[in-house]
Amino acid sequence: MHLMRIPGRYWIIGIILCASSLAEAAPLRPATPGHPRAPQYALEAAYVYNFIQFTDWPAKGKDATVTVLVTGDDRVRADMKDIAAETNKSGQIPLRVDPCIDLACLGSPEVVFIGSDQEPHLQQWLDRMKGSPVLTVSDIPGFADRGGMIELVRRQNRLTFRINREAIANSGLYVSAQLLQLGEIINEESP
Amino acid sequence: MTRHPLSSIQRTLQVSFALTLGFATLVMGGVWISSDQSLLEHEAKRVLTARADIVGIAARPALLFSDRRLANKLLLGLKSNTDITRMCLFTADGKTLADVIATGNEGASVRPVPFETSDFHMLGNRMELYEPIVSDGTPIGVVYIESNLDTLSNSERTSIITISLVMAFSLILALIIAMGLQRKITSPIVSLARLMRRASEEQDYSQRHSEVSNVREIDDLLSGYNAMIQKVEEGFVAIENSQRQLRESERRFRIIAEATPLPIIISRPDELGSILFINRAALQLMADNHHPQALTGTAMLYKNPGDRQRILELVSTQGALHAYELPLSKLDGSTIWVELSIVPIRFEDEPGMFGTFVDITERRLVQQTLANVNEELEKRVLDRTLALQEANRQLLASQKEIERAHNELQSTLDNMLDTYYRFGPDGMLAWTSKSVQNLTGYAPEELPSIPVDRIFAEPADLRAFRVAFERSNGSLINYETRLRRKDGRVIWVSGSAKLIHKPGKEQGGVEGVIRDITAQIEAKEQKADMERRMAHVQRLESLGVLAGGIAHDFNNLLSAILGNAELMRLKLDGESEVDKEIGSITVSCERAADLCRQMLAYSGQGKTIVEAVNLSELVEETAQLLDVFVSKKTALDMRLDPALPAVDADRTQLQQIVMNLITNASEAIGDGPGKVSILTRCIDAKADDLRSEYIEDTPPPGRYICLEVRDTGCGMDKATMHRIFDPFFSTKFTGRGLGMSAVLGIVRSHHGSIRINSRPGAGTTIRVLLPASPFQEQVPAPRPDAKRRDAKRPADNEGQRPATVLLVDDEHMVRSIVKSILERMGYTVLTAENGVECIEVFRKFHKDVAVVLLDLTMPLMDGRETFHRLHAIDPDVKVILSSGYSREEAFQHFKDISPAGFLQKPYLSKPLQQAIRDVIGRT
Repeated sequence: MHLMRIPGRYWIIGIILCASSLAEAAPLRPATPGHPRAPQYALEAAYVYNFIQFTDWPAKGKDATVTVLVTGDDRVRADMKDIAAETNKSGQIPLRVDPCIDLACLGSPEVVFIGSDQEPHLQQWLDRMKGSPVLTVSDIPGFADRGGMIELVRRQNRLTFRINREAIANSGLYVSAQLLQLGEIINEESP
Repeated sequence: MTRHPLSSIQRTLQVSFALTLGFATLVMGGVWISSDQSLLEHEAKRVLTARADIVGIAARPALLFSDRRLANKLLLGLKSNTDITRMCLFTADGKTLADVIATGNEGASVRPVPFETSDFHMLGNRMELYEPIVSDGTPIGVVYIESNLDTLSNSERTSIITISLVMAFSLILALIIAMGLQRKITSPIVSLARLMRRASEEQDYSQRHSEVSNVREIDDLLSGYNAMIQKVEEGFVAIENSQRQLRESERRFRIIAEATPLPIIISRPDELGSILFINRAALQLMADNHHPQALTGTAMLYKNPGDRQRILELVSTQGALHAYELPLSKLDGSTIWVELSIVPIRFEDEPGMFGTFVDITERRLVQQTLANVNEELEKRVLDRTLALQEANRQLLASQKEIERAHNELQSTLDNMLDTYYRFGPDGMLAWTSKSVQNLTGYAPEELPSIPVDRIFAEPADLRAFRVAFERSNGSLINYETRLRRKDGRVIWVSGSAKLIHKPGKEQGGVEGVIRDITAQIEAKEQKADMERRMAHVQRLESLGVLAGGIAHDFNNLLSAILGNAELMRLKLDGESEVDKEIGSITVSCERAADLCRQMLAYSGQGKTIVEAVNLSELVEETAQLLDVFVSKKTALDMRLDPALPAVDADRTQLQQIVMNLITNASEAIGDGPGKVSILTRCIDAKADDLRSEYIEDTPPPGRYICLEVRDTGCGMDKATMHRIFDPFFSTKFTGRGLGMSAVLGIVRSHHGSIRINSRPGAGTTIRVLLPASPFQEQVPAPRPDAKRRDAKRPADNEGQRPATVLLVDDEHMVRSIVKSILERMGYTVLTAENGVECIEVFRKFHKDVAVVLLDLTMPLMDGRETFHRLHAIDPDVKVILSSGYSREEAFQHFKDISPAGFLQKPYLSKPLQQAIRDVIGRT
């Protein structure tokens, strides 16, 4: 498990602000031939990486690899893979990004990103992972309200997120307060 | 007793400086360290607070989301700080979110940290701080930091060492400077002390201090010492000289005292009066030089033992005693009288009494004899003085009595209204009573310097008084004369003068009393003038009454004559030979009637019709008529005010005034050349302007119309002027003497005034003032005569039955003539000779009677009562009143109802016919 130092909070804010502005202006990475990438998905991938940094999984070693399963949306997965390549190279959090098309390939990942094309099967995905220490992230509207943990939301040309604390608490995950204070909490954890 | 000082000034100053500086340094160091420690503690608290703030900001998310892991992580990050020993994070409700103990303190027993919202404690070797954490204005938690005091203790230790070193260095430096200063100050003082010690021990006053100090006070001290020691040295020299002179003086004194014949004794002021020195003269006088050793003291020389004590007291209080006479006892027992003088002195360094005395035994004997003689003489003088005092007292009493009588007399004279005066024999005014100031205006003290001829009004008055006084044989009483007051006013006085005779003298002056009788004299003159005027006016009035009565009777007679003449002319139809004579009768009658009118005017009864008359126009019209009367050589100069206010007057009478005045003026000029000036104007007349000596009642002041006629004729003397208005007084051969009388009567009846100014040969000016009308400012052109307007109207009812006229008159002649005239006019005439008969006739024929011609003055029943009775019978009765009086006079008797017409006697046929026509025509 790796936690940032206290000043990292400001770094995160900087990243998010920069990402918000870049989402409108330019892509995070130059587009590779044959895979035109929209800036929105690069930004969502960067958000997922940062969520990982402020999240702690129970019974997981400090330097253990974090497996990110991206369902449906190939564009997010491609950007996520680029980030994983860089982090693995620089010795930061070791990441592994795997694709998944249905519940059959779910396995035991630490993070699952559910693409918008999986909206018809969303409830099945959530029912399957309910109570498990898996951080669920999606840009499907109403994701957090329906039991997902972090919902990426676009508001006024800015990318922000909504957090379902109850779902996180029920999963046994630890999400740092530094991340919580940046998002919109939709249901407070019962004391 | 010699006093040895324990310490020098140098040592004292050194110790004082050291103690003072040491104490000051200690105090400053203590204050500095105390202040520095306070600052250090404050700084430690501030640092701790800043750390708590940082922790609070960082821990805000952990507190918001109760993130214990994040909270612990934060506190562990500060664990490495050596000062911080323990940190805690509390939620807002007091629950402990995180509690971290610093490295090195883990072994210590962990005590629970109580929750507090905000506080700071210094506890022994540690500090505790509770700092609240706030988010969006809401407290979300508290951070607790506990710190040890190692850093603070190190800082305090370093500070104390530094301050101690600085203070020690400063103290040493200050001591060095103080030593140098002390040496500079004390060096000259020590040197001076050394000099003074030598001067006192060796009595060597020649030593001087030669050093100079830069300190002013020390320099003054050294200079002062040099000056003082100089004075001391000079003083010793002077004392030595003085002692030498004293010894020389004593030697000379002994020589002189021994040689002088005056006895001298110098003795001690002790009980015996031990003798210090006695000269030869004293020994010879008191002891005859035989037993000088027996004279042990001066006390034994006093004959009366008390004298010495008294003398010593006198010397003690007065300082010395001179020429004190007393008896002394000589050694042989005899007594002598001496005149003693004593002065206290110092003799041979002790107090002594220097006494000299003279033997006055023989002089005392002579004085005793003289005293006896003087006593006898004084007794005689005293007796004589008492006798003189008694005589003086009596004289004073009589003088007071005289003075009181004099004051009473003077008070009486001063309070008198009359003035008392007294001339002295020299002819000068000696005394007057106070009332003289009221009488003459001069103060009593002024009068003696005023010449007597100035007090009399005229020199003639003084001469007359002297003559009268001489004729009176020195006693003149009630003599009236005039005096001139100080302000120049002349007063009348009545006085007495009496020659004063004094026994043994030829003439003693003149005295008398004067009284102011000016008011009496003036009253007497006014009374005489009033009586004179009253007599004149009464005469004029009685003449007026007489003239009025005559005119009235004359009018009746003239009516008869004129009526007869008219009848004669009518009967003869103008063809007769006597027609000319009848005309003469008519003309004479008309002139007689004119005379009657003038007489009536003079009596004030001629006024008839009052109307607004413009006098300027009237003068102009009248002057045209007068052309024939005025001489061709006489120029008429008319200055008539064209905008003259009106006069309420009888036009005919005013015309009469104008005619008479102009005619008189022209006749005064005569046939020679001359000028008559006629002037009219309006004036605001005062009482003085209106006062006339010919009219008793002066009209009230106001606006008056002035008619002034001035001629350059012969003028008049006073006698003529006095009688000018008398009826029948004329200076002209052909004059009737009624013209000016009529003028006066008319002016009086119009409430006007008249004045004449004339002198023989200087012409005459007559000025008439008539009151201006209060109702009309100016009078339009004269109205056409109403009678004239009506003249063309048919007067009688021609072609009808003749009208009936009831003629009533007590004069048979008038009755018959008027009846004839009326019948000739075609009227039917009924007659009655008085009112009673008139009433009877009217009762019978009142339906036929068209008009009643009624005389006013009749016997039995006069015209007024007759008229009222006629009116009672027939209210529509038409009555024409006839009378010799004027219309207004006649109509005064009728108040409510008046007759329809009026005829003034005598009247001709034409006015009669016109009057009847006017009355009948109205019906």
